[in-house]
Amino acid sequence: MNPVLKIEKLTKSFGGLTAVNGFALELAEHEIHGIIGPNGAGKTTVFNLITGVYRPDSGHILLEEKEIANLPPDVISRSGIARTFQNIRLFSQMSVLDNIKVALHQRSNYRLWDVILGLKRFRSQEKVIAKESLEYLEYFGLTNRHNEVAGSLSYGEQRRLEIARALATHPKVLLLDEPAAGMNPREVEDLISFIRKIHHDFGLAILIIEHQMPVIMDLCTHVQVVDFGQTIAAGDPETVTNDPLVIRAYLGEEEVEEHEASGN
Amino acid sequence: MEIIIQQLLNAAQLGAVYALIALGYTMVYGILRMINFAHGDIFMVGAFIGFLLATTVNMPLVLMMPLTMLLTAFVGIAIERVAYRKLRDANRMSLVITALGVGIFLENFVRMVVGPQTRQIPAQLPDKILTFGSGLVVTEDKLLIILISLALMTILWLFTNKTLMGTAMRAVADNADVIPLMGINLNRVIAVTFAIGSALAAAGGIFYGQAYSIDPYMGIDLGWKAFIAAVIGGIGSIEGAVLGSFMLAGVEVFTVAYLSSNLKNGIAFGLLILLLLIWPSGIMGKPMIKKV
Amino acid sequence: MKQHQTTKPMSLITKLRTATPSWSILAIAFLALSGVLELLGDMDYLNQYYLHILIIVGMNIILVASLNLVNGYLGEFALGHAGFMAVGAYTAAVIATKIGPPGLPTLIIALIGSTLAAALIGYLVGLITFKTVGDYLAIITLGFNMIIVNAIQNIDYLGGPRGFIGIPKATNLFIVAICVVLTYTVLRNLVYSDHGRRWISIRENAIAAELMGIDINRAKNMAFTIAAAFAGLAGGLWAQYQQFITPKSFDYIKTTDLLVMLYLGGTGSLSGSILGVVFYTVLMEVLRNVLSMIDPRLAELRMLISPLILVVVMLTKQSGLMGNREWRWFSPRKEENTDESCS
Repeated sequence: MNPVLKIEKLTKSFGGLTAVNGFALELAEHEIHGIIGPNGAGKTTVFNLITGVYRPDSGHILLEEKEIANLPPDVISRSGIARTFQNIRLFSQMSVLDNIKVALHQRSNYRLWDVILGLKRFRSQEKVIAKESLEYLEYFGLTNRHNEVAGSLSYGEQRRLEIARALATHPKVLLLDEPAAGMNPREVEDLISFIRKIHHDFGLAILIIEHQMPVIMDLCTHVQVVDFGQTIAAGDPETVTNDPLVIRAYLGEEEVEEHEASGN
Repeated sequence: MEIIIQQLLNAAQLGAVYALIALGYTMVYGILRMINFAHGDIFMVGAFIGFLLATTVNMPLVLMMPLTMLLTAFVGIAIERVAYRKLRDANRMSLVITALGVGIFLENFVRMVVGPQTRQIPAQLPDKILTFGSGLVVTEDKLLIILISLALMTILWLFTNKTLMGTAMRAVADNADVIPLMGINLNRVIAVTFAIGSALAAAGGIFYGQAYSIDPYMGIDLGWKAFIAAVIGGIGSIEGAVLGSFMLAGVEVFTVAYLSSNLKNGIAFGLLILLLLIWPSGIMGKPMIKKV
Repeated sequence: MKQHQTTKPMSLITKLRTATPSWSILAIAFLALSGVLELLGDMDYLNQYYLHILIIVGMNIILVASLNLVNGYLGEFALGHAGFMAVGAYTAAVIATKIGPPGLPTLIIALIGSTLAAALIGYLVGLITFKTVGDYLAIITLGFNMIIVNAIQNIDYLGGPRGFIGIPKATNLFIVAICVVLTYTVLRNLVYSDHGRRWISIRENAIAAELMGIDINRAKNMAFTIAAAFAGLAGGLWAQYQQFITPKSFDYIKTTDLLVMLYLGGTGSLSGSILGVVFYTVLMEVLRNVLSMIDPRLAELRMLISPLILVVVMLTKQSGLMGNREWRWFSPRKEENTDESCS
């Protein structure tokens, strides 16, 4: 089966610092794939390169075998990649409902003239958009909040709304950047089953960056460990987390010895 | 050849005035990320304080100039304290609009006090005509205006680069969040910035009133020009403000001399737009980095 | 702002307060009122001074509300609105004097012409302007304002710096009122459409908006072009009301006036623009009259009081009088918005 997302030899440096170096990845259809690594390892930069926020220095990013590297972010989004952000980026002064409507903006096919003259095509499609947006909110349990300003939601609700908004763009690949950041173990449990549910219901391929290991262990079929912009290990979660290289990258030299001494 | 040097000196004189105003814009912007729309009017207030001191009590320039700078510095500090401080962490647009309001207030206030007429600050600089070489004619006051302005800019440069307060100002411009952690009083740094910017603008106002004429609304036009000069140079950068001012003045003076005075503004602003398209952050400004 | 749904039967007062008249009823009522006032003025029952104030208010509403698209909804800080007004005013002046005989058809052609001309210039300016953001965008738009004014000053055909004289008077309160209704109907439709939501999302978070698949530059330029078009319309009205226009009257001082009214009323709110214009204009006139009644020498004082009020409003209520809120009439009706009946 062809991978839905394939990355080859992706490299990006900022000034003298190479943030991503020869990164490669293959994400099969309907797979959940994890990226882990210490802070500053270049994980979010990979997301920024995939979504076009940064332009790669070299390398290829193929979405369903079509090159998307160097395309502008909006074009990449329209070709089927959506993401969430480590620090939530909602349209915080807009209502919860309007956040979803923005994501659905390509569903309407009314023209500027339809809007300016207030024609029927505009009004009826607005109703369709509103209906579809409410369906998303219902699925994500945010229906009773639809009129509130997004910025007033609780942290957990904001995370959910951000995922809902990403899904409303009808992506083929969803990128989640630390979806469990700042959550307690109970909330992490909920998030895991929630991601599993959307994965099943929407039939997506998902790429997750996460520090909370339970998320990776429970959801991912394949994990890639990144340090200093390079992949230092890859494989199924069990193998990867027991790799000495990985433990060293995470814990540092001395602690590895202690780690080994304690027989763990 | 003499005519070109003559025009260059005219440009240097106008550029010096622009630079003295532009420095205040750029310093305040560096620290508060705010376009202080009232700054042009502070320049005007400075000019009129000088005018009043020179005409009502016949104060000699050596006294009048430092006193005017001091008084205008207090005007600047007061404006920051009363109108801007509360909005420092607010939406930047409300700060800009407040500054607009302050500017309009100053214009109308001065107009009510001294009337709308055009005035001139009585010439106090020596204005002997000097002749160089084969017919290059220069008046002493023009040279003095250029030289004193350059001296003031040098003092400012030394202040920001060699003193503790100057270092603090640059630190705030770099990252305002860390300053309280470093034991620097942010309010004092900002007050000093406004004081210096206003004092320099007052010096510019006196020079302008000597060389040209003053009226309560002159700050709008000159303020914009100086602001543009600061943007061309790269707003936030002191060297950039000076460079941009002399460039803008050069373009204006030579447009008037060789093309038409009607085209002055159009060409100046056209140049501004062109330069910003080439250097989106100004010639000496730091490029913006997109953070995700 | 939580909206509590009460199950208790509503009192009559609550019913009246929550009853939202439809947009078209509101528009017709507004037009009828303006028509009556215009007639009263024509028959000299109403002082021309009041008529004049109302006409100025109407034109400023069009200008401020359209500026609001860019500075409020899109969240950029554009400083060149008066430039597009100038384009519209001069286009209308040329059409009205050099082409048709005075009359309604000429007025309509002149207004359409001024709207389109300003839209075209706005589009071209926008192409360059939106290569930058923030303060640089502010300064570039100001630059274009100056260039437009300066260009007109150098065109003899348009009267140069002396101005354009002898434009037939065709604008009256009723015409202005029609244009206000037109403007507001279009703006309201736009703001609550995909276009409006794109603009607001760019203001709220440009990167997230881009990653929703929004072509940011296209969306921005659309807002800018539409805003310029309405500024042109107001300019066209202005020229055919004043009968005499000079380039100087469209420089940044005019832009500044518009900004003051916009931010006073509150950005990102259609009702705020109306409130800002009415509040500011009425305040200036009331101050003028009250102060000169006390002592003619005090009339000047209003020039000090009005900026003070602006500063005080900004210090106490940073988002302006309305600040992102909306009168109920100006937002779409609940059932249009969510349409719970068909879900």
